Amino acid sequence: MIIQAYMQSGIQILKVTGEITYENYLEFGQNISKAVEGSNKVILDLSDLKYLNSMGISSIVKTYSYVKKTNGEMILSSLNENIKKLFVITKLNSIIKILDNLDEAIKYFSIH
Amino acid sequence: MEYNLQMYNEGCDLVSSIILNADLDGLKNIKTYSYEMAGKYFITKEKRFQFVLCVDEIFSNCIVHAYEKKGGDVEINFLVKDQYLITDIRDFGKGINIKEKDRYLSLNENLLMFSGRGLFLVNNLCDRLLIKRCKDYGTFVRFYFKMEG
Repeated sequence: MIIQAYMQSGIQILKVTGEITYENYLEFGQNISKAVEGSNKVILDLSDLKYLNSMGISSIVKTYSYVKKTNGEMILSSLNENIKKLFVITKLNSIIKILDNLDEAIKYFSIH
Repeated sequence: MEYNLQMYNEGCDLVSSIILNADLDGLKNIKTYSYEMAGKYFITKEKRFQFVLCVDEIFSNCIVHAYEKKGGDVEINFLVKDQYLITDIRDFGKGINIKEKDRYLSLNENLLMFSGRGLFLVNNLCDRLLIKRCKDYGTFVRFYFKMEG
């Protein structure tokens, strides 16, 4: 699992590649928490995330809650259909904004 | 309530049987094996993903909850019956609190809780889920996936 962090238009973008499982969910959680510190606009680009289990979901939720608590917003973009379904089943899509691609997510922050 | 394995295996054909240690290596092995099983019995990528995820979630529960990360044996059986691939995962650790089963299978009111979605996901992805606390010790989980093709 690799996380690439970069800024674009004042937005912290985190691109996650690989899988988030029991093996690495703690490391993932720690790394993205550190990466979002001080950011109030965050996009988690999951276009190259191939697999995610409930522990990975929990790490994402934890980071979302942290960003929200500090008056920021975190969006997920580019989820594959299998992973998107997990967010629908757990109704997290009703709370965490999920957009189809990175461009839409960047556009969202330019408007809001 | 203890489970009676003989009752649950009537009419089932055993495809394979493995015993793994409830640790990271065991998890990697069962995931690899599950991908192979998924390739044999499911056509769509969606179903294969969901099947592997269910195995992952239950096995991970064995590591974290049944054995509290101290390791222990996990028996996994794959069976077929009536167009269903059946997966049995049985540990010999701390048995599930069966009185809390409904809670584990439901979505918490607090959608943003930091844990506890594993069994809920399995229950919603598979076609049928059975969870039993074993008479001696441990937990028995069985889930069904309808085969494709």
